[in-house]
Amino acid sequence: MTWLLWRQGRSENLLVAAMLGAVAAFMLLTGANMHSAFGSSGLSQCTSDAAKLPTICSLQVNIFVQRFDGLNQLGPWLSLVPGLIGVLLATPLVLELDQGTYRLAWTQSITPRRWLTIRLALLLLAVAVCGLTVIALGTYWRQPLDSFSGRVGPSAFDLEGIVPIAYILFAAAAVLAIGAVSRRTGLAVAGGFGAYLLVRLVLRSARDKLITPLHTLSRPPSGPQGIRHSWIISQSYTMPGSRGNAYNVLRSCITSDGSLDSRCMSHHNIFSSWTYEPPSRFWPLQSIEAGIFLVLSAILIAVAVWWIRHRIA
Amino acid sequence: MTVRSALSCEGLGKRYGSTWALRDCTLRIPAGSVTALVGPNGAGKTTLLQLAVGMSAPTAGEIEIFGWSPQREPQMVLPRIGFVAQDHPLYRGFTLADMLSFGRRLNARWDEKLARRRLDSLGLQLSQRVGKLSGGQQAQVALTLALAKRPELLLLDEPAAALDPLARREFLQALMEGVAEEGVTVVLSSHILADLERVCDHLVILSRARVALADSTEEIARSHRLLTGATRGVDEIAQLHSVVHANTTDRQTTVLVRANGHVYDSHWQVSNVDLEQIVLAYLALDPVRTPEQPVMSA
Repeated sequence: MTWLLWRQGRSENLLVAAMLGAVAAFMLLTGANMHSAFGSSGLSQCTSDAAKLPTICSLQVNIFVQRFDGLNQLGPWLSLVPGLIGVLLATPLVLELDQGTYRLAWTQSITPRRWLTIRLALLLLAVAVCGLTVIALGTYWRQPLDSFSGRVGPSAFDLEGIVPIAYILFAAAAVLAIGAVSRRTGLAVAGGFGAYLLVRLVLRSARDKLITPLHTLSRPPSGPQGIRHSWIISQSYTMPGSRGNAYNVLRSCITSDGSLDSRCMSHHNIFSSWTYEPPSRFWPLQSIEAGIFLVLSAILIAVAVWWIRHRIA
Repeated sequence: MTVRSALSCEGLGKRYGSTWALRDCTLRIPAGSVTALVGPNGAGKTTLLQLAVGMSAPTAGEIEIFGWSPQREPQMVLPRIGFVAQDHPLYRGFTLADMLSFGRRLNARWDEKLARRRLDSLGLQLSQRVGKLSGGQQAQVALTLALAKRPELLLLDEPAAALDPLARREFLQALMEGVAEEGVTVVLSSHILADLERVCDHLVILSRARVALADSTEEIARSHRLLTGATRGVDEIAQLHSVVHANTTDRQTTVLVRANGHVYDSHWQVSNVDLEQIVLAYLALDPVRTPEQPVMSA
């Protein structure tokens, strides 16, 4: 049975392997580059010694971030990878329903129930293996960037922790459900990937509502305590206890070289207002988001199983 | 003496939505027989076969294969059956070697020698890809897989439908050779009897989701009689025998009856009918028609 699944899904499995291989090659090469640049620039000392950060390190950090900004911007594109993997892993089962070969498989000596159980078990195993690979690669790759921007922000969050496994599972489950109901591979692949993108986008834009973010004020130019490694959702200026618009007052604090005069701001009682998720919320947020994807996946898989067992059977 | 049933069903029915695909089906197919399942498209042949292999669950009634339920005891039924679906599905990307590997890995009773011998005699190489074979060759490969399972009951859904007349004859010949020594029970469905008449010894006629007739071909041929006489009503004859089909013209009336014992009536000239004519008469039968509209055509 395992042989059959490997043989039948050979092209899809090879595609998944090729895609993971390409992502791995890219991440290991650029990652090694980043790691060595990080090590040789002495930035590692900056991140460990918080007191020195504003003075000595900010320039070095800026240089590093600018150099690797291109890679940092790749985050959203890398979000497509779990979706593509999930779609490909679920495709062979849909093809079996689409092309009618399930009728051949179900009339061998193995019972349809067992056939479906083994298929789903191996699919889950493949999802877990691919998910762990993505997490391992992503975590290694992001490590230098994470050491000063933290992991709770979106560009790191989507590639680390446990959510990549849930993303892959959801894409696979969506393809399975659409494939079982429609028995059309093209529709299942397109619809499943579309559902993946849609739910990812919705949850991505609602992530700051999963746990109410913290709000705090600080005196510019310094940030509040504990803002380091946080996911900063918004930052603005405010004048507590005053009805005036902080930004109108702020204009008078612009110096001749275009920067803001902190003494002037302090004089007008202008504060920085921060909305952020602190780094301690990385795992709670990961658990909630992964949980949502897992529940949705479980529902979709249940629909697929029910449909295969009762409507197709 | 009771002959073991390969397939038996009692009040079997299958409904899709509000339409019955098969209804009130009660029949017994004896072990060792070769049964033709005949009926027009949509008569319920495929439904019956799918119920037999456990691929769908009955809405009503029971079906048993050698005494086991295909739904509740698939582990008992599946190793004993060989099934070739109408479009003989195969993995198109597989080579024939892969297909044999598939059969070997999924069936404990797999007969590798038989499979290789059959493919060889068909002139097929193990390295050939399934998708590249002709329709007839694919049908033969599907039959090979089913036979190499060493089934006790072989179910074939429209096995000859996709084949040209020559390939059809070869296929049926290969089939009969394949099952001759083993005493395998065979059920084949078809919407035409022509091919099957020579190979089958039992006949089940399905029409409009119901069993119209089920018996051995011998008994069917023996019991059906064609009566010809001057134009007259058929009520009298219908009291003694069951009228399958009646045809009245200005000059004469012909009646096909399933005789209840011996037919002796001086008004009628009694003659034998061949199987195909009987089948056609049953297929023309419209069970929806009420007694007010007698089975008759001018």
